[in-house]
Amino acid sequence: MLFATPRIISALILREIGTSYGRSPGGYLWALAEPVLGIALLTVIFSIGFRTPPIGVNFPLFYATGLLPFLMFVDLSNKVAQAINYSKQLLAYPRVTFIDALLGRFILNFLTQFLVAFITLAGVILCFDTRAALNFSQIASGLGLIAALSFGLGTFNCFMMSMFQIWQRIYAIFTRPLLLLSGVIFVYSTVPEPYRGWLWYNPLVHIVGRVRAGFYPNYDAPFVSVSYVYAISAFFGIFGLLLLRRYHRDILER
Amino acid sequence: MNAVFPSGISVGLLGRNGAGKSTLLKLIAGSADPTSGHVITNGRISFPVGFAGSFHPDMTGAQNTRFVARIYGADTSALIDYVADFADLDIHFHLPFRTYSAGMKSRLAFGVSMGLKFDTYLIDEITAVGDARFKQKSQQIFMDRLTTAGAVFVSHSNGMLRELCTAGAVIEGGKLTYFDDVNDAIAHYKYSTAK
Repeated sequence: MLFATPRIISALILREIGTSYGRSPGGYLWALAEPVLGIALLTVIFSIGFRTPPIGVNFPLFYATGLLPFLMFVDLSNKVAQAINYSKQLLAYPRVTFIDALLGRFILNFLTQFLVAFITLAGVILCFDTRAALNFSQIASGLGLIAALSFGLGTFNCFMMSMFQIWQRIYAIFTRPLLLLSGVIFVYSTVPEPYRGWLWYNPLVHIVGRVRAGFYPNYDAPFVSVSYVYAISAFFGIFGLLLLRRYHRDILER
Repeated sequence: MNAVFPSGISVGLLGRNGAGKSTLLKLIAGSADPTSGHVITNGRISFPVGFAGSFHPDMTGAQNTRFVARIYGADTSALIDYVADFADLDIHFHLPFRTYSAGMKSRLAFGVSMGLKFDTYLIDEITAVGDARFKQKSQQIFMDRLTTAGAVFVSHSNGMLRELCTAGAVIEGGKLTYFDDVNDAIAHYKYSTAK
């Protein structure tokens, strides 16, 4: 039985709402704290050394449009990767499938992260003179890329991390420099060749570029390839789903 | 292994530890796949109600109950009320499941499964735990359910098997032998273990 059912998914979502953030004092405010503090820190550090950010005139907006999509991907892909671990006991019910677990985690955390990004960006735009001009089709396209990559890579990692404990450490080590290599702090177009050519293969560069193009009228990020990001996401996603389908019973039996 | 378990009948499952009784329950429930062959079922089959349970350790008894109610499409608050009354957990009902004692765990598991309407209940050794009063109460309710539903029942207590089951089945060495009378199954099991 491999069908996802709305009823099961909503039960998993309601359960996650009640247990994850509900338990710590402050609740959902913690989800806001990480990006807000990150943006504030980067703003303070870089506004000491530079007069203007690489794009536009406002530091908080520049880091918000870089850090938010980045953190959204990191959080969402990790949550999806932990989906089976998180609901392991509940998967003992014959009705609950691993697809329900993946989708439940993905939907809830995408909505959470979307709300966090929305509140943070609205705050930045309202508090500062950012001269942002919103292009909603670019922003929506960026969100689509984040969702696809997070689900695809998250699903693949869900298999890898559940099957091989060591993968979690390896993945953490190799993705640590990702913040510096995703165009969050440095803009892609200012990176010299040949490094720029290598950076192109990091899908997060495309995501950050597309999101920023949605906020800056004079920045259109021509290097962004939507099909490249979707192809990578589909590759990992389909591969991950097939492997999970084959091995999820073994994972649960342990 | 080839067997037909008639629906609406309570079948006692006997076998040594590790013979595959719990695995057979999982196969019937659909939470495990057979290495080869098929399991064909009809009607609403319960999840395997076992001592280890499928409850999440970080969720409270109430949250676990609510979750089960939702996935089986039952009335959430009705099931909560039923289980709170039946399992007699007091404040523990609203504490994480990991803090429960063995007795409390089995009371919750049994209460949740009895609160839901199934055509076949899969019960793994659960009524053996708990104090005398609870045993009596749960036996009563289980008998009541069995008037309209069937069950596959794993237990090492022969008395309980005789009381609750009409038919019996013995698993040994990967083979299952089905008996229409549970007493025959018990006799066969005693004979084969005495060998």
